[in-house]
Amino acid sequence: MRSIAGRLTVWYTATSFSLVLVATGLLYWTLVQNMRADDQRMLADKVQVLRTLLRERGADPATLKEVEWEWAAREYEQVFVRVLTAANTTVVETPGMSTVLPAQALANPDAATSGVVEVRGADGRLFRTVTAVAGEPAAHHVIQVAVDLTHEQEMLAGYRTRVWVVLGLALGLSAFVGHAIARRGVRPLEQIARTARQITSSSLDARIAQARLPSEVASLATTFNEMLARLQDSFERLSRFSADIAHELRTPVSNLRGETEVTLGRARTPEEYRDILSSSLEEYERLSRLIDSLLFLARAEHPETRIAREHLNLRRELKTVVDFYEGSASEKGVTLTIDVPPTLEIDADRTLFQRAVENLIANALAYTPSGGTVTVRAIADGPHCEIQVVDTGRGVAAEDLPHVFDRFYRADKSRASTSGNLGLGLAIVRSIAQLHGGRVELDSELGQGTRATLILPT
Amino acid sequence: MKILVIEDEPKTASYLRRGLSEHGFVVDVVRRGDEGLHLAQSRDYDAILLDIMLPGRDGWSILATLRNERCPTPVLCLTARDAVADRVRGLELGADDYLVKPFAFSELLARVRSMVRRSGAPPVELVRIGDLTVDLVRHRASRGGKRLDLTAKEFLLLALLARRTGEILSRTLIAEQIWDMNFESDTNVVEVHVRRLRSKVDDPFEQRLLHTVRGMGYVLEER
Repeated sequence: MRSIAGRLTVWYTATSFSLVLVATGLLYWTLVQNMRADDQRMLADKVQVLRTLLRERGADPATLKEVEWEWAAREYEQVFVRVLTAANTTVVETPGMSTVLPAQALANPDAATSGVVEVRGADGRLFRTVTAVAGEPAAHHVIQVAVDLTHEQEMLAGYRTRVWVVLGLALGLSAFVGHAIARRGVRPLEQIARTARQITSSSLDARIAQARLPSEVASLATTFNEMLARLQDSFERLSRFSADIAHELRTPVSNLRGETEVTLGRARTPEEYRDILSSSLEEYERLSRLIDSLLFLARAEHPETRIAREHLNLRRELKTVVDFYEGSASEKGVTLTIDVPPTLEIDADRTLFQRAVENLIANALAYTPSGGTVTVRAIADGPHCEIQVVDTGRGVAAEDLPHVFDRFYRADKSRASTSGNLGLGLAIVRSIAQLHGGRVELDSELGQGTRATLILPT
Repeated sequence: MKILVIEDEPKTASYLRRGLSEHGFVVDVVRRGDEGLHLAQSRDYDAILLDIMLPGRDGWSILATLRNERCPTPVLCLTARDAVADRVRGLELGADDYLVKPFAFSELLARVRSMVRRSGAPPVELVRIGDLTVDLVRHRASRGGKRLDLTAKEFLLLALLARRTGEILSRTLIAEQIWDMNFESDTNVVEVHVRRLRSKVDDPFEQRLLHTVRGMGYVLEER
């Protein structure tokens, strides 16, 4: 059975019904035992009375008859009594006893110890009987007493019928109650399922109300809500990202379109055409770079992306990038220095590593005014290696710091479209760090400078 | 120099034909893969530009067939797919180079020329452009009889431009060849280096040899 409610119902029902069954069975058994014990005591009592009579008065049929009559007069639990001589001749017996229970039908006193035996009479009635010996062993008498069980049997039969009715009712009731309890128990789950069913990309803000949930389900609901929050966050970022992409594409495309339309509006000199085409070419380049960067980021996020690691000398690789930027730095009046031990080595994808460092240095240079310094450092740190790019530039405001690695995030909104800064540089650095199993951090103080730290496993 | 262009996108095919013809190549363009393979097999070309997604027969299959037949013509794959696996596949199948769309035409031109050069032509030792002399063996450059004082990187840059005189070299190609930086750089860093070189090679002299072609790159030539 797949449903939890169904399973719970079955278990509840089975458990409570079993309890009722055991209890009822035990009561019935006790009742039967008690009745038997009563009969036994009664039979023993009668044997005792007869023995006393026989001992005191001898086998006087008149006296015996008296006793016997008294017993036989009882309406219920009719009792038969017979006294035999040692030679098996009847001295006295309850009238009619010989037809129902002949002397031979009862146990032989020699064989039987005075135990109680159940015997079925000639008319089909069940008797509980006892056979005992009385008097001197030389001239003893045999006493046979039988009690009619018909009434007892009827009573037990009635009792059994009632037991079955009670058991049937108990089964029905426990199934019903069990089902109700189970439904109640799984209702919070259904509530969660209902919420989950209603969630689509546009209703990711839905949450499961936790106030009235039992603690076990509440933790599930919390987990579920957290998952929803994460999904919502990713989804929002994704759609914001798509919007950003569209926006980033819109500017250059609109420039291209406008320039071309204006140019075609009337005849121009070849120089003017050349100028417009060159300007277009710059926009195309920008678009290409944007597409490349976006594709790179998209691919880097794919979990199956593999990188081609090779053994790199850190100083040599960093020197390459620093050399490349040395010209730009000195032209800007910024001192670009490198401080890397010559022996440090790292396993990394060379192109990606260069690209990450290049982005960090370009950033540092862009935000460092003339007279400042940019230092590239590397430190071995256990299984990792830290590459730091430290500048004395204008720094990043504290409120911008958590976002600098987001795509298209630019601390300086006004610089956005003119500087050729795509706002993807640090996002790319982070992707590269993650592809290598490392990370990137940025510490900064406004007006003091920034330190970007690329932490990669060696 | 004959070049076969197998490309189904009409605009791409058209500008490739025009651009390559204007740079002195004889260009055949086909739009279908099967026709392209047929032409490549029946005629002699100096280079083949091969698109990957083609009607009739795809680029991979054309490349594989040509290499199976031991056809030595250099092949440059052009494609919008730039997954590393695609690049590797192209190079494994025997492509000589791989360009991802969108690419700069100057880049394409440079690559085609270097492909064609690779298969022939002895190395140059001395290049003369106007009164500029670049000695590629002794790593020296002089202009108007005066020795130019260049740093190692500056000489490498001048040598690259001199060896390919008349060719427009893109910033990417320069960054790749001189600094071994293998990606599209976001900055105008190359511009700074060219400017410094120019201050030594051009500025003291009357005639300008090192020209900037806006949006495309740099060229060293007498105009």
